Amino acid sequence: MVSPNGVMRMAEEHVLPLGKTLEEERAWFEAQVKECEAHLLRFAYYLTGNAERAKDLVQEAFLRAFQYRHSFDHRYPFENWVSAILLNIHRQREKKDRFLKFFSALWQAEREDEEEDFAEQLEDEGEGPETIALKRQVIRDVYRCIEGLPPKMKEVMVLCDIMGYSYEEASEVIGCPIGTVRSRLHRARRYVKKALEAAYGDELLGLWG
Amino acid sequence: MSFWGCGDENMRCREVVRKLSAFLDEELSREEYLRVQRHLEVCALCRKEYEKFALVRAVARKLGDITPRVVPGESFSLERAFRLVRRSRVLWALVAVLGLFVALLVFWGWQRASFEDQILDVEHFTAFSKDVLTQSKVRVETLEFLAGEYR
Repeated sequence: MVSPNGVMRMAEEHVLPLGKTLEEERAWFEAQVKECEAHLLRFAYYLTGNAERAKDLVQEAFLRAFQYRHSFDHRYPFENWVSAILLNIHRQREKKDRFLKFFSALWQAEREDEEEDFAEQLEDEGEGPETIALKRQVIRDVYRCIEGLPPKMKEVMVLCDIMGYSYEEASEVIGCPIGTVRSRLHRARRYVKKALEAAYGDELLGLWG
Repeated sequence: MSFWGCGDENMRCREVVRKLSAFLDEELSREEYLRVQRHLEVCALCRKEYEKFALVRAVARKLGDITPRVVPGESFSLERAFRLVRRSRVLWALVAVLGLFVALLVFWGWQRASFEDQILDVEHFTAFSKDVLTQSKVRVETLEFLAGEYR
């Protein structure tokens, strides 16, 4: 529901029952969590590339969201608010992880295993084994490119392309102007495009039907 | 047809390519959208670029359609989350206490070792001083004897 001034209005059940008992607040919070948990798990998975880390990240994001529940502006979707918290926690963890980069060999092996299974989930829609194998390969390549993007570009690409957020929603989650989202997304796509051009050459355009 | 100068009088290829991403997502103003669209109708190079960007976007969207293997074992519950936090806090407190204990142990050992060194130093010094005193006493006696002989 969008009001004339463009502000998203929330349904009655999304409004935090401020000033009521802690039990009521908890019940309200858990109802919100139920609605957006799967979505946030996907978001966390694409950010981290690891199921366990994703679960951990979502858990911490919900906890922090509950701690700061009184700062939630109910004019905006709960999901976007928790996504922004999740993204901040992810950034903090990434900073810490830079010190652990020397364990990258072990890390890489763990990720590659997951990647293989991940691409295999693409279903065959009666296109023949060769086409589906090629598509899986392209998906793997694009996924790898997105993984290798600089963090800021990766965030935007995950939000806009993978999660399907609009530029406005992405700018709310990331906390930057829409113009920045637009330019980062363009640069990220250009980066992926160049990597695909280098890998497939002139055949690139015929890869995806 | 040059890459730099192709298109209508207001829009060049470079500018169009910069806007292709937003054009794909329909995030341009109506005026800009129409200008890019008009340009793409006449410029084959930009059209090719557009198709490549569209491919990247389509693959990434497909990636989003595939549900990753993240199975939320149990749904999030505040009760469980708080319990986990408490448990991790207790764990950290234990680690801190253990660390403090080890640090105290190390400090105590070091203090004890340095105290023993000090005792040893005193003993060495005492022994050394005795030697020096004895030697100097002997030396004085020898000197006195020699002096007597000389006289």
